Amino acid sequence: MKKLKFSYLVAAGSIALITSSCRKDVTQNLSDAESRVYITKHDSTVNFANYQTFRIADSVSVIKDGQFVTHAYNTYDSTMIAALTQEMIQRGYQLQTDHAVAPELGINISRIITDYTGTVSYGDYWGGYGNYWDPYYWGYGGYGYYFPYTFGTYTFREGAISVDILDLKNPNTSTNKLNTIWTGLGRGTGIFSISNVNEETQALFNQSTYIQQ
Amino acid sequence: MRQVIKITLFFAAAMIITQASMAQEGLQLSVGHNAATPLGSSFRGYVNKPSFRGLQESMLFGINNHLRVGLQSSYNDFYQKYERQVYKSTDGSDVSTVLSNSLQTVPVFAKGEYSFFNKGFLRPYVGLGTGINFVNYDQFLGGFEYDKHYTKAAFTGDAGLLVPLSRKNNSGFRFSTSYNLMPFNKEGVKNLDSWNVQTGFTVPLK
Repeated sequence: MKKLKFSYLVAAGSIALITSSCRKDVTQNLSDAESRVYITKHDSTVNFANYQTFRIADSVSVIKDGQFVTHAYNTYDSTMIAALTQEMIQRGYQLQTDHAVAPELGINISRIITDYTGTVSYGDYWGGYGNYWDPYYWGYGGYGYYFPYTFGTYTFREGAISVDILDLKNPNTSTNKLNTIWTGLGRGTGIFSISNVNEETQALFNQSTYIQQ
Repeated sequence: MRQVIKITLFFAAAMIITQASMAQEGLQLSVGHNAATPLGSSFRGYVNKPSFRGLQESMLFGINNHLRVGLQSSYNDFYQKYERQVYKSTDGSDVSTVLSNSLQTVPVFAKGEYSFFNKGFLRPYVGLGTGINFVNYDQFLGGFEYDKHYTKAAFTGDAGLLVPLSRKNNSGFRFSTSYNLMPFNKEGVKNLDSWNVQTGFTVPLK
């Protein structure tokens, strides 16, 4: 009987050990800033110094669960457009304000919102996103967008901000495609917070030193 | 973690069965805390901090006064967070992220132990085991998880000391150290060998 009680003590000790040896909760150990990830990719055949002017689309595409919802222009969107404009100017590019003149680089911004958890190839949901911004906006009616690269597969759970730089100087007239020469993606907690816009643009551009006039 | 619970339930059920029947002799249950230090440049490149989140359990049957055979399992959670850096991804993209590496190992061994003394206050022993290792590989880019599970071979060798509660008692505290040889070659990590230290207790079940 005494031995039996000691066995129960051992069992209780086992449970205590299991409790104390539980797996570290990784996401609980991350701040909001640490949870954010910035991914950029570019067409390595392109020399960004060969372009001089740029313009950013005047609103932001909102894509929810892979479906285009609307073009929006809220405070976050305007702050992001302003921050990106400033970043491009600092890199030596000229903002083309005259809408009668086509810029050499066009910049599209999208807010991507997903409500589910799963492993999704980036190409799946933004390989086709370019269609949400009619190339007519850039003066190329009837064109599509061409992405010369694809992204890896990651698990994602929430919103993302996507920025694309398009080559408007060299449209592919044989395929009617506008080449996307740089893509930046920011994801994670607080990605749509206005207070994080500067961090987001700087993170995307700081790792893209080749974007320089 | 689910595997650990399953293994614990198995040991608990076995303990209850043996207590109820009192038919088997020589069974002993050992439970303890397991601290592990990763070894090897590849494993340490993934996680170089020791794991203090771990446990070890064994149920061994005494064949004679010196030799015991049975099952042993352990669990360890390795974790390390790296400050934000820009990584070159395999697809050519640049990824700025805080990287968190998390890896759990659950080796289950068929094990034999040889005890040099079966009486006295200090009873040293040595052991060898071979079995399978359930590995949970987790890598977080920021808050985004990449998760894989693998089953691999595992080997262990240990040396320890049983300190019984009294001279005639086989229950007592158990202190040991072990080397776990865990072949692995996935996700850019080669071998999950570790050096371990266990502190726990042993209770006979007969």
